[in-house]
Amino acid sequence: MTDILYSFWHLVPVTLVQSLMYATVAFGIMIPFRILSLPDLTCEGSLPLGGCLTAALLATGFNPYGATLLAVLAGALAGATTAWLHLRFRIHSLLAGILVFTMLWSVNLRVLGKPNAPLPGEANVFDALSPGILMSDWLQVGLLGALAVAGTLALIWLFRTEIGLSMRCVGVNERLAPALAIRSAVYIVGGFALANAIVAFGGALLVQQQGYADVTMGFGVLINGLAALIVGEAIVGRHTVVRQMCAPLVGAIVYYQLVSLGLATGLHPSDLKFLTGLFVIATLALPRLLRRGEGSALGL
Amino acid sequence: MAQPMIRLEGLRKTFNAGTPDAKLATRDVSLEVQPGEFVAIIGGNGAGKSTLLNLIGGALSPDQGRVEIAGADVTNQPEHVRARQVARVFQDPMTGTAPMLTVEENLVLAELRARGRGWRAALTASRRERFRADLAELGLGLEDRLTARAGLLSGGQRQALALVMATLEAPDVLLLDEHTAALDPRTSATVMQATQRLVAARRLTTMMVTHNMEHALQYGSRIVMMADGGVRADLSSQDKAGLGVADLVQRFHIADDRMILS
Repeated sequence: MTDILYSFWHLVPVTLVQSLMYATVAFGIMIPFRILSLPDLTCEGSLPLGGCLTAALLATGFNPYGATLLAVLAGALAGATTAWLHLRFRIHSLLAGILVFTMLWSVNLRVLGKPNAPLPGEANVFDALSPGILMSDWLQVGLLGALAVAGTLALIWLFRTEIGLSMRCVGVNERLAPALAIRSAVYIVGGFALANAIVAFGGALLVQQQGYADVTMGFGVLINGLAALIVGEAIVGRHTVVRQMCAPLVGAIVYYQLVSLGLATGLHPSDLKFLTGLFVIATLALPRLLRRGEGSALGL
Repeated sequence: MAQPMIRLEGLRKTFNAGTPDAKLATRDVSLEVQPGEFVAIIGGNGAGKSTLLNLIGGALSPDQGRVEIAGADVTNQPEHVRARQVARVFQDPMTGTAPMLTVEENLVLAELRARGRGWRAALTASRRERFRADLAELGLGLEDRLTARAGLLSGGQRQALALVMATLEAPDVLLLDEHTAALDPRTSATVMQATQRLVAARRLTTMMVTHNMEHALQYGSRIVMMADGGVRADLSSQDKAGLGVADLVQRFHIADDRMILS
């Protein structure tokens, strides 16, 4: 027992660093799903896109800040593409996202040139800031934590502006939006672009923190991000802008610690996706099970 | 005569064109509405009343014909552009407001309809003050519920809110699509009185679709009766003076279960 607690405790800072970077995926899921009421799966491709593009640019000696910025823009483009497919051709947003992240897999291989690649030493934003950061887990927690808080505050500000409020209107009442002179398509494209820009930023940070890029780094991030979002919403709620914007960050921090605790107790890593899936199913099913008598969508 | 606020010319709209289910919803409707007129549109189910409002509001575009608002041709203007001039209240209380947003957030969106939007804070002290005053005028106690979510209001309160939203920034044209039909008779009367007050205070050009003949007679300055996609009768305020519900029914052979004759 003490062994388990010790190994869990020992991993807390490392897990925190991971969760602060993977929180970007929870944010990237939250914006289309909760604000626009249009679920989006593109993050499974935009995370590795951000990572691979950053790695490829850094390998050519590109400035780390510039490489990260270009990765963010590429993520925005990926998200905008999914939204455009949905709006222009009436492809369901889920299928549009699957199409884009599947196609991005080929793009990422082309960009990186091989399935995985190490980054040239010290060519990353962390070392560019200060060489000491990558030596200390707690410095990384401080830096990434400050970044995450700043990002959350920026989103709270955004969704309280006139433009942000209009985006929320598109999500809650599709019929009303055009009658209020809101051009829904612009807000849907903008929301998807913003979401995937954030995810690609997470991908860019991940490769620079761990020192290598891998085209498979997006595999399964979606379900983890969704689980993190659900955990966060269970803890802080989602009925105000502040709560909804804090949920992905709080959820990611708690969720990854729970996973770490599970692994410390001897949970096999390969069982993790199954258990995460079960967890998401349970949280989605719970409200329906509690409202007995109404039956499921299939009328069973 | 002054320039009409609304000018419709030969408006034709067919649904499911080219299929066995093809239905001519409006057939060559031409109509002029003067500024400040309150036109009540009556007629049976499928007469083309709602289609006509959708053509004016831009939710539908006509197969043929022309829509002019305040002298400008807006026939091909998408709804979200036309909405700067044209405000509407829907039949379903769920449609006219955003249920997950608060009363004050709904009102901000209504203000932005006419003014456009930017990166400014949506909720400000001055806006709240204005909303409180506007809602207090209504006398329904909505001014104390600015921070409540619109979905928590009753159907009548939500229609009243939708009405305030539509008239907050005076539109060139106000479209009311059976906006009291989903309410009980007492609430319906309250919302109609609020409608009349708001419309009169701002001298709004209004087109109201209704199944309630009494409302049409009482509140309309003009009554347009539609049947089978066309205008069957057009009564000016002089024409309708002295007419009762029974006269209307008799004169136009109205046979419609949904008409409220009481």
